[in-house]
Amino acid sequence: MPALAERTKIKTETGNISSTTGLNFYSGCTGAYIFLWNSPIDVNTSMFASGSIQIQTQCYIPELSSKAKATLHRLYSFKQLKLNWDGNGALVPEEEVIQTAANFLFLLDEYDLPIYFTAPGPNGEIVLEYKNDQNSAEVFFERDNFSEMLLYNGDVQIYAGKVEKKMLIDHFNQH
Amino acid sequence: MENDIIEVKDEDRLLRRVLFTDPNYVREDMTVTSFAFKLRKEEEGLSVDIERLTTYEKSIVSVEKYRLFAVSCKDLRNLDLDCIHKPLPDNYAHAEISGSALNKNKVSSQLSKFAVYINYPK
Repeated sequence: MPALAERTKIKTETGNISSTTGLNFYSGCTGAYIFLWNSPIDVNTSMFASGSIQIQTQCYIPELSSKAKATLHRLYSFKQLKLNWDGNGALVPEEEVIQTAANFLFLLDEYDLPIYFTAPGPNGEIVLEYKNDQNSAEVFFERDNFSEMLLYNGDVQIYAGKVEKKMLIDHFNQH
Repeated sequence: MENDIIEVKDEDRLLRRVLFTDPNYVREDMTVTSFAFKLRKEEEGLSVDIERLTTYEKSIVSVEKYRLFAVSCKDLRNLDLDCIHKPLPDNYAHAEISGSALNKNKVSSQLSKFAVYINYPK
């Protein structure tokens, strides 16, 4: 009975996790994620277990918060924009950029992040803004899968760089 | 006098016209999003008006379409940007914010944090 004798581990890109650890599995439409005691480990790859254990997964479509629903509605309304929508030559966001932003909004709403504002930029980019009393964040989505994240404490910019979901979640969960 | 190029001083405030339609760059709390300070692909500088050389009424152009936000020249120089007076035939107050960092999200975002809403029209 090797499956029972062997301690089961979940293999990820970053190493093995014991199955005795508190794990929740999420496999949404944008990728696969493991949540370890409510902290996400972004594996973004298929998971498998050693031995004979089988993990049954199902696609989980979460209910969006009302703020996220309204933001999603705004995001999709950008599909109706025409070239020069601002009267100064603004480009229209491409479908792919809108969908990437929508997927991100879906995923991060699971963590009750305070979505606050969205807008299309002059060059076809999109920003999602998160904000609570102390902290704010701006996440930019552009063509060719470019994305960038800025984090603020008050008006002080404390991070500018590639999008790190865990960092963003921690930014709004710090006390 | 109206043809003279003036030196833009640190204490000068610069007025930026910001889109106030749908979609718009002004949030519900009347702060401004960073896209209001982002260069378009073909632009080399951001158009502003030097506050002391104009009026809000002239600078806003259309109260239906825009709102005004002010940034201090000192703040933008602290971001390694600069501002030069560039009068236009119909707008002596026109100036341009420039700098290689201006096309970066982190800089346009920081500029938007410095921007102060001008309560016009009241």
